[in-house]
Amino acid sequence: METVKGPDSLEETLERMVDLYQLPLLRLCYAYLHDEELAKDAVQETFIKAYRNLNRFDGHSSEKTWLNRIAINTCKDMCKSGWFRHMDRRITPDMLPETETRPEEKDESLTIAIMDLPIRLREVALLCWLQGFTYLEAAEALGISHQAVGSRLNRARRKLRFALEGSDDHDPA
Amino acid sequence: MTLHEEQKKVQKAMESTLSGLQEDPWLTQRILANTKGEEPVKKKLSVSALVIALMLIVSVVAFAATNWTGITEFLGGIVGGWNVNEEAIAAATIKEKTSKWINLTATEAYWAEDGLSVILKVDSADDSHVVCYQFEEGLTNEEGEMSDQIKIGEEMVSIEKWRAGKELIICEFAPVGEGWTWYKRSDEGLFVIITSGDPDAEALQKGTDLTFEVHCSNIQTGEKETSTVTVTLPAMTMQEGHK
Repeated sequence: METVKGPDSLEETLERMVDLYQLPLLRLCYAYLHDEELAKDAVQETFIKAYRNLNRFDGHSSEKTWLNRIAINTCKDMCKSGWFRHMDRRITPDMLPETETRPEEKDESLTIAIMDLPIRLREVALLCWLQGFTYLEAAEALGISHQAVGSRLNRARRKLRFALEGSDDHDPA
Repeated sequence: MTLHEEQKKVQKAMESTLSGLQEDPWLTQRILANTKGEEPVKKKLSVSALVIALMLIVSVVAFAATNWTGITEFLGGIVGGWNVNEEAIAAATIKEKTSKWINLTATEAYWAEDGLSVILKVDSADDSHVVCYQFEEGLTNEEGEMSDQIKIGEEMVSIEKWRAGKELIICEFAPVGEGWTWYKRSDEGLFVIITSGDPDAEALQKGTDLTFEVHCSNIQTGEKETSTVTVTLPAMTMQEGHK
């Protein structure tokens, strides 16, 4: 099992984690929060929390699961702030980060549909589909059962079918 | 489709769509500096957060005039240290509104670097309706579905009891161009603060009219109404910064 323990100093471990996970976590937090600067704040906060707790990390879960769990909880906390709850957080194509080449329309639609999923479905979809987690890893990161992960993922699939195709009779993504 | 195939498809889509997200090459150094207490990690305040902060500041002034209490508590810890040039707060007036469902009263407007904010009070146009906004606290659950409760003041109350047989109208206000809308329910009713992030500076300096779209739905009947409200603003001067 992958852990953060090893011969590296804490600083080296942090540097390695940042190199390895900064971008995936930034995508996760952006898809969760719908705001690039907030997402960067969330990622920074995630690594600060991780660094401060490196000595206590017992390797029970993988480093990736552990960091994603911290990131998800950080995003959740940010969503609880008073002003965040009053903001209209629905995403439109013109709100997405500028890219050098315009992504394919179907990719953009799928991304937006996932970002617009209700929070509880979105976090499962992001962990399982974007971050490549198994049901068990996602369950561990979210503190729910793997059956609940499966159930939420199925609901996410149905909602995506509806959002992308207007029906729930076809494959979603 | 297997989970693996779904993962590949979603990862390709999101990596392509979100390829504009940039890594921070100095993140490790800033985290280390922060954790060692050498210097604080600067929290980046996004444009949206700045706009929201501005709206909250404006709301302090605007709602003070309408005896809205509790704003200090509401703002506690969120926008401490931010100031507004009170002399630059302008009086806005409603020139025209096309909605048959809601009445609107413009209170004040403020123009700063982050945008132009206009404050409106929203009331039902007739006694058979009550008005809410889409993301009003308690009105929808985490999954965006209608809840059976709504937060009024500090209490969660049953929507059925609160609406007392009246029909529930849910409204959303659309800012002009890039912007944000913020809502607040106080004991005095429902308020909306609309901020346009990229207003026409030349027009604002001369005094101008601004038109916003309002989308409302009647939850009981399913009817929908799209209307506009035009607000008249006097000549204004953009205010620099907020600190």
